[in-house]
Amino acid sequence: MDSVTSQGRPSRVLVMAHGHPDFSLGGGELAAYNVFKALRDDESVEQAWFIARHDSGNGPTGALTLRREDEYLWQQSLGNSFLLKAANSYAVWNDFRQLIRVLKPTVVNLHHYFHLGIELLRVIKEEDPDIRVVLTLHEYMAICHQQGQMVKRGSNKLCFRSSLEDCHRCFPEFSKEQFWLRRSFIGQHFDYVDHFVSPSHFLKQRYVEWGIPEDKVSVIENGQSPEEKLPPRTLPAVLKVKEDNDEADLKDRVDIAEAKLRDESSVKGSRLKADKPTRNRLAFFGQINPFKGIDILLKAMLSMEEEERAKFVVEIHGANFEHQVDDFKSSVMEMADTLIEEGSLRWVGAYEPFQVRERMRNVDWVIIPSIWWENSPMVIQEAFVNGRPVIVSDIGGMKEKVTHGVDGLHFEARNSLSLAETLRKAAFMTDEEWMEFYVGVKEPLSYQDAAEEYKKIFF
Amino acid sequence: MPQRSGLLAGWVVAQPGWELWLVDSEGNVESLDKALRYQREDIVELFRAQFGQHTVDAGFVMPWPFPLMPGAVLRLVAYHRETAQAFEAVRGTPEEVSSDPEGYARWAFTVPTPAEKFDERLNRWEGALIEELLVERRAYFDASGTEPEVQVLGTPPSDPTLSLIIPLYNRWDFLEHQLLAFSRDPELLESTEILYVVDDPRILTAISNEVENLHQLYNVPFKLIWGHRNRGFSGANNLGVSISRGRQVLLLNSDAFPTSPGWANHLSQLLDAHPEYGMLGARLLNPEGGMQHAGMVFFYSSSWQVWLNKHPLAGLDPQFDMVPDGVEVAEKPAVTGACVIMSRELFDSVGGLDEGYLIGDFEDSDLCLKVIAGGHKVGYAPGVELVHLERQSFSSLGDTSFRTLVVRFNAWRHTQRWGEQIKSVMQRFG
Repeated sequence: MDSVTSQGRPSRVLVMAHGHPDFSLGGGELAAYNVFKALRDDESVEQAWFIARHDSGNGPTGALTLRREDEYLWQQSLGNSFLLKAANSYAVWNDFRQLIRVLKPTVVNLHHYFHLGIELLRVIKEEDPDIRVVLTLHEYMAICHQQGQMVKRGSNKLCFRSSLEDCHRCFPEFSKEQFWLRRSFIGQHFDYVDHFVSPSHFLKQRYVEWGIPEDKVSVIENGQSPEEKLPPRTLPAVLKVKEDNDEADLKDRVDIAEAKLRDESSVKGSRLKADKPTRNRLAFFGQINPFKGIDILLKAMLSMEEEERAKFVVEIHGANFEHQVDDFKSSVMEMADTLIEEGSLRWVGAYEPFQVRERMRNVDWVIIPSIWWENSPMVIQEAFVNGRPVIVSDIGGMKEKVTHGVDGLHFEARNSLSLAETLRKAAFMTDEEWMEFYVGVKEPLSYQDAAEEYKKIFF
Repeated sequence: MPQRSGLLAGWVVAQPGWELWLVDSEGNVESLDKALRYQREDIVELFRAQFGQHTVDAGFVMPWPFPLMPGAVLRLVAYHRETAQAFEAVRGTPEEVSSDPEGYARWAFTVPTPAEKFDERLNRWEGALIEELLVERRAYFDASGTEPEVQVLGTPPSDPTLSLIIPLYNRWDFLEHQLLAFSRDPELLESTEILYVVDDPRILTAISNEVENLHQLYNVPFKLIWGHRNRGFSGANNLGVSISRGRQVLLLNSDAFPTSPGWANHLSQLLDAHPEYGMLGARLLNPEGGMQHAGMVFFYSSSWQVWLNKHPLAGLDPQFDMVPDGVEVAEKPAVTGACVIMSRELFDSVGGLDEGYLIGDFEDSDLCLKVIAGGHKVGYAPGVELVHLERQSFSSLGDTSFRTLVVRFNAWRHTQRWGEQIKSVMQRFG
């Protein structure tokens, strides 16, 4: 077994995350676990562990429990959200340090620093300066105290850069001096990181502007479990004519679309073709909270004529709506009720991760109307795995990951009229026009390939 | 505490030149200068304008060393020496408090002291007082001489090598799971007598009415012992040992479960085979399969100024508990009392478990330190595995809840007794 790296050091990798995907399926948790999984199954890697911060409801005891072989849960939580420190300090300077001493990793890859505690970075290096510390960034938490959203507190306006003055305006209760201390505290801890990974160029750029040297950040997209692209949703009329030869039909349509793409790449119609079936099934996937822009989507629909709306259906597949504040819930439901009643909106509700694929099977477009920057939204990658083009806000990680006119469409972020125009364009597309987007969706990076990229940084 | 002593607490601010004295109805006098003082921000707020920096450390707590009779009145008298003025600032009738050590602590620990001053409070009077109350309570019960009740279920071995002592406190549903494990261990049933010590009056009725069923169902003979009161971990184990007859005694928690038969006999043989070891602990795993106990170490907490016990490797996969091949017993600074074996002779000669701790804590390491002081080694047997369902809890260093202050009292007592020895033991273990 080749378990020694080119530098002659054993490859023993500890991957840490702010949550375990068994309990919390955020993009960061999954990305971390996928790196661990790939390394664990990799013969050339001597040892991989996964430690996820967890809360069993017993407080941050610092207790470590085995989840399964080489996987642990660590009872820890956020103690100081301003300085991003852990709640149980003893568990950091004693327990965690002893853990490093016992496991003897040569690489520690932390995903996120929130909840784990930023002070881990220093403790790892203090225990053994030879350990390579790689920090994967999933949020803007270090840059922005407003839940790392880079959206102005109160007004929800987009924020373009942090500064002592800007941050103090969002949080008058913290002085500029405190923000200087925060910046300095986090910055000094980041000095202990040998290399950073960002899943998007956009997020990388934000951290570079904030002060991380450009050459210390690599961009690696969050890898996905490889799956075949789903066939296009079966359209009613197509089914009637050609139901005996579906596969050959798909191949023909792919060929035609690819030929078209070679000849002309610009014109993608928004003409109303009511008689032929159109690619008129659209769906929102993801968390439902004020930053995800579901209200923009509903406003966009309501701005249209009822007869226009009658020609397409939007599905809402979303979780955590019940945990939102009442004002937000009631305003969303007020808009949604009208649309649900007339049949243009279907509120499908929460889904389990394993259900994503089946739910995407029957839609033509996935919509991500977030009003914040996003980093690399998991839903975009899932849509691409399943061969579904994506309609996104034209900012941040969404703009970067979706190419307008190729594998999706952009609309002006936060502008419901712009989204309405884009919905029309998408929903009234003929199958032929839509097929160009279907073909334009490229298979996303697999998690194994992502791990190969990580290995170049690790060893 | 009637006819004994008291505790005074409150706040006071005074201009320079004023002396403050406390006087009781018997004419006993104490200066408030003897009180433990601490900062009260609420008092500073109220009196800053008038008293400025003299509002510092307005809060006070102090012992009243004189016996207080029912109806006694305490006065706080202010006296200005220069002008010979004096006046009574406040008077009050003391509240009567239990002189049961636990009852007293429950009350006294609610009398506020900042966490960082608690050590001073223990050092100055409260540690010794609670110790004294514990000694008195024990002496009282010893003198009353009520025989424990012993219910024998089935026929325990007539000449056991080993006695298994298992106290039951708070819950007893674990008992059934242990009996099931014992029923599958013929070697254990042959050589070992099993004693359950009920240490909690709240569960006595329920358990007394169920033991026959449990005995018949699992066909495991055992003795059920009731010592008429809650004696704590030490008292319950000591009672169990005093009634048992084995050449060796194995103290086991009711939430510790053997993972395979033969474990107790294995421990027993190891103890015989390694006479330099006075006691042996087992490897305990938590329910997820990670390490719970592989021996204990001591570490010094500078904020509490005490030594605390620590389980190294806790939570980790057992593969990290590296014991050289062929080593059946490894020397450790201490082992947990959740599962520990020693000879009856040694147990008796060191006086058993110390009953001077409040409610329960540190008795196991105290026992280890006694054994080490007697010239024996404390060992850990990694080849004997049990699952221990101990749940961890979290409290910060500044916590002043009753539970945390009990830990602090016990840690304080443990450090008073063993601090020097712990230092040398830990030096030896590097």
